[in-house]
Amino acid sequence: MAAWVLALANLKGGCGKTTLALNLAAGLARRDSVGLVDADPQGAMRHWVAWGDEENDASGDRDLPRVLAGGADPLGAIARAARNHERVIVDCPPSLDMAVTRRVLERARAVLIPVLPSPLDLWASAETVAVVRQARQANPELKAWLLVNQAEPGSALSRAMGAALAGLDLPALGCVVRRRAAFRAAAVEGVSVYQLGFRGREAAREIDQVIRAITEQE
Amino acid sequence: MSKLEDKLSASLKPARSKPTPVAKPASRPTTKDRAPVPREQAPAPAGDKDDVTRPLHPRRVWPD
Repeated sequence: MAAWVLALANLKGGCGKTTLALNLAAGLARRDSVGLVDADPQGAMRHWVAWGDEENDASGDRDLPRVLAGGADPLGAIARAARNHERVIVDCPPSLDMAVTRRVLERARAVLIPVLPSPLDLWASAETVAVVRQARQANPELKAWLLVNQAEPGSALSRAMGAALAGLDLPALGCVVRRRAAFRAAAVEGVSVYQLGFRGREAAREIDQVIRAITEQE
Repeated sequence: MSKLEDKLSASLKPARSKPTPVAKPASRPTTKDRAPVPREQAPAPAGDKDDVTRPLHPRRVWPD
């Protein structure tokens, strides 16, 4: 059976693709075999996991899947991961590698587009939606969702994002991920929010909601 | 719908009407790509610009 490939994509940098990719992979790895592909030449995800190996005992309690570097050949890395795992999560690069993102989306089963609650991110997402449209010409079954990331419940802008996303041609996932120190703390420690215990409890709950929302629509 | 939601939604219109992004931006010519300029056509060196035919400072014209 072909592996289920989920891409995290947004042509704008800094919207939380890597953080979400890594934590979603960690959440999914609690029940399935998961491979991670770092298609971003910046290699932040590889660094995150390598740092975790160094910081924590590599043989200890870890829930981060192995990361395959896909910088030079993302499709090759996805194919290798798909041979060994049931699920593959791909961290796509930002806009300079638009062609790479499109090729990854042509291979993926689904794409999640994190959008920060800001007008700049909203506008940039329109371009990402256009790339999804292009990829669907080759991959009509590609599922795609927008996800408000780093939402601040007290902010009027965060609340207004839901309605604004309706102006893009893709559905929003129906849950949001809040801006939380736990996500940054997890990176500092080279782990996922699941490994933070009580400190990561709420963040892990949100990641579980995202996983549930996506897998329900598989 | 609140005023903010209206404004945010309306602000999307220019972004949506932008042409579809191309796969790769056209590469810019580098200095290596440029054909060498023959010596006689090359701009004069900076030292030659301040010759006697060119005033050192623009002439200031006072209104009457």
